[in-house]
Amino acid sequence: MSDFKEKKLTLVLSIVAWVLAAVGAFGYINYYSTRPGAVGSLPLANEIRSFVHGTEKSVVVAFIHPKCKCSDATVDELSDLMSTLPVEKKPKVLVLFYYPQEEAAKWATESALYKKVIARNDWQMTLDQGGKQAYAWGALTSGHIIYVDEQGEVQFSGGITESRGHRGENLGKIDLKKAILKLENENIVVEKSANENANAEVSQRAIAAEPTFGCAMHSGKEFEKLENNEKPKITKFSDLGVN
Amino acid sequence: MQNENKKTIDEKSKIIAQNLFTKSYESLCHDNDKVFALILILQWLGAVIAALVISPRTWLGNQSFVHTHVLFAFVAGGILTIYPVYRNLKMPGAVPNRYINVIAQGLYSAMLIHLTGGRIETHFHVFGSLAFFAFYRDLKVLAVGTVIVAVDHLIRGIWYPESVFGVFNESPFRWIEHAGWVIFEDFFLGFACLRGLQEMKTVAQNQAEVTLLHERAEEIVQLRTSELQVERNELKKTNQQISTIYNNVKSGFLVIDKDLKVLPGFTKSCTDIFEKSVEAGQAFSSLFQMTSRAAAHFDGALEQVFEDLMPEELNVDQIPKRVNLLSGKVVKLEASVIRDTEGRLSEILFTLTDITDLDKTERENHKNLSVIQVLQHMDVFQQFVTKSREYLSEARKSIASDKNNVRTLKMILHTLKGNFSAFEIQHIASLVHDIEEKQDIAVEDINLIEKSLREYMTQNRAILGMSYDEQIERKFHVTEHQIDEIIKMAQSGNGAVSAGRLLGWARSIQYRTVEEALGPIVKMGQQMASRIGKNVDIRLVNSHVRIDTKYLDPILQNLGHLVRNSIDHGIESGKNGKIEITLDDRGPDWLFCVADNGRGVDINRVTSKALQMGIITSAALLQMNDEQKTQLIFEHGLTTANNVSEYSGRGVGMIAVKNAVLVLKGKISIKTGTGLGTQIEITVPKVEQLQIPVGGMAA
Repeated sequence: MSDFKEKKLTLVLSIVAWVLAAVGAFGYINYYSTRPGAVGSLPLANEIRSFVHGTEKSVVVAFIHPKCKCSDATVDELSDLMSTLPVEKKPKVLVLFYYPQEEAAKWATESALYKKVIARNDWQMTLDQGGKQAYAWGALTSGHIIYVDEQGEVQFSGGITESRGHRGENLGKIDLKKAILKLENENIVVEKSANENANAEVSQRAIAAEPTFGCAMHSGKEFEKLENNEKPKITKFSDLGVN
Repeated sequence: MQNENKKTIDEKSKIIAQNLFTKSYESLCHDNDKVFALILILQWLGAVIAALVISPRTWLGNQSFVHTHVLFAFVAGGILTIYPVYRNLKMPGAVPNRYINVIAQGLYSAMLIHLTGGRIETHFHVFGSLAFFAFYRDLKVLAVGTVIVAVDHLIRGIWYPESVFGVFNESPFRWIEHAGWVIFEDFFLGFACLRGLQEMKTVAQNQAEVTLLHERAEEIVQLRTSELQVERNELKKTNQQISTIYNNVKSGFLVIDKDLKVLPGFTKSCTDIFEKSVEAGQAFSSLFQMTSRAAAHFDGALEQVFEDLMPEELNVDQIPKRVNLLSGKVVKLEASVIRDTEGRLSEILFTLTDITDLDKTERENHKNLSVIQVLQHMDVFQQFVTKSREYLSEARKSIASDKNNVRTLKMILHTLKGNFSAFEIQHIASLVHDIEEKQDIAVEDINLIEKSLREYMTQNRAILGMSYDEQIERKFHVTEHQIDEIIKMAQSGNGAVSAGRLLGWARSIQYRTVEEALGPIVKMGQQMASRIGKNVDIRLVNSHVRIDTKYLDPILQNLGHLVRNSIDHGIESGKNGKIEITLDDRGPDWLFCVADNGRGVDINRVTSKALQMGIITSAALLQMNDEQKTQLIFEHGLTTANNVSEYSGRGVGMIAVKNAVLVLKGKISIKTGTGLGTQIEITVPKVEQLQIPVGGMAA
């Protein structure tokens, strides 16, 4: 092979290798970004109904790891969504901030995300030590949103970002909005409750659900070891010390 | 030929322009690659920093790890940066580099959009990058970049429309709109690329033309330089030759300025001529060692030239043509004026020639000419010599006498001078002229004149056949036929008739023709006119008539005054002058007439001069008629001449003529007027003369 042809071949091969490497790196990040976080089982229906009892309004419950950067996008998207709703249809927003069992509350309260949310006067916030509430609600990934209507029915459960930390319009956000506004939604999929043997009434109605992209608040394994009666239960809204 | 040359030049210009453009473009790409290397490195850094700031760590409960985004920024950024930067730095300007840069830049846009969580502002990186692609001024590069953006949008548009468009994509063709905006930007960037390329080509073309012109100019300059060098060498050679000639020429060349100072650049021969060093800045007249009076006159003549008020020839003519140095050298001066570019007289060039030998030869020739003149008129000369002895004796007596009759002395000297001039004995004429100038003339002066004449005759005795002191008897020429006639007459027996006829014959031998008698005066007049630059034709009328020169000698001796006066004062320069000397036989009288066509005598000036000299009073003047006024011309010392020349101007000549006429009991009259010429008539009675037939007795 002539020197020129050899050089040309080397050039072509090097470019191809380079492109493949770049594509590979982008492919991985794409995979990572679109890999949803873990999700647990929703609470029992009656627990959910009693959660909203007395609120007279629907509630959007958000579970946030205070140090998860991806959840910053979730908070922004939720804020953006709320701003588009008519006042009379705005639900209450309850944000539960995780902090480890062994840590003090400031572990959460001193985070930028906490401070961002607390600046909003129209949202309710509470701390979730050890992530018990999150587990009880089945929210294992930071950024998980659950919408409970006035009747105590879960209409939406999942994430409202396109991918990790990615802002912008997405199906989850659209579904949540439709659920709040009680609009027809052809994207609803059936969410089967993880606890199929529960003796409480389980709603088999289809709910909107999208994957949640964020940091894991906990694996949930520490709670799985517990007996059912020892497992964390959801706290009523009115018992959370919020309005 | 010209067209072919032009074609060749055009082709050459295009080739050069193409080469320049290619070099320029390669340089551009070279620089762009370096810039992109920097941009990519900075972007890599920026991406890592962005990842560290936006999403530094990922969490699992209370445990944190380095966020995948940070690793992604580092690894993917490295992949996108290292290879292109390596190529950009190692082989800047290589064609594949620009496409690799475009791909890297496009993927960087995707990376940054991802790292910033899809911020809409990060999308501006795409449009900014397109502008970077335009740096290469290559539509293909722009096209590749656009394709990458389009593909990215297409892929995202299909799977992640919200990340691209910000809203849930309800239309699968929304990406076309975005691509359209990119193409919109491409339009302007493409136009800029093409414009930029065109400008580069134009610049290259202009540069090529300048280069060609420069080369051509270089060629021409080299050619001209060579030619100039050749010319310079030739000039140097010529200058050397001129210098050689200049330094070896016998004549001296010298230039003076308006201050009459010698300017630098005179020839070496000037030093030889003046026999002393000549220095620039020296006064010109100082070279000649003149008397202060002569130097002032000389400088005056030069200053007059520089004043340039009169015609150049007239001014230059005032400068002496010859100067006698104290060393005895005679230097000939020829002056030429030098004018500057505006025509102003700035300098005078003198050509100096040592004519000592020539002058000596001329003098010798002159002496020889005078001897010839004498020989041609030997009889007259003999009479002149005899007369001169008498004049000189009379002059001595005049000086020695108590009366010391100055007038008589002046007349004698003036007459002697005129006659010496007539016989071309100029050196004695000049001597007499110098003595005339003196206030007090001594006997020694008279002796000096006599001595000079004696020496002249001694020097030329072999030719002349006589000495000064000899009692010269006139010799007569008699033919054999005339002797036979005499014998016949003597033998005829008729005593009275024979005696009468013999007397007549003897008289005829004694007589001279007018030509013989006045020839020297005519010659003298012609030469005098030539010396003073006047054109005069002198004629003798009735020149064949024979006259008793012994009897008429006083008249003949003084006629020269009249001729000299006509030439010196009557005839004007530049005009064709005529003088006629006529001898008419008026029965009992001879009539001599000297007439010229000169300017005439201004009688008013004569009367004014007479009044001024006190010769007449105003009252007497009032009583005078025109003829009487005219007769004032003959008063001793009265002259209307502005200056005395060596020939006339003393007021002595006319009185000398009149006295000579009165001696022979004749009459003299003058007819003149301003612009009318002058005619002097002398009537002299004949004495004891027999009418001599024309030609005398048959020879």
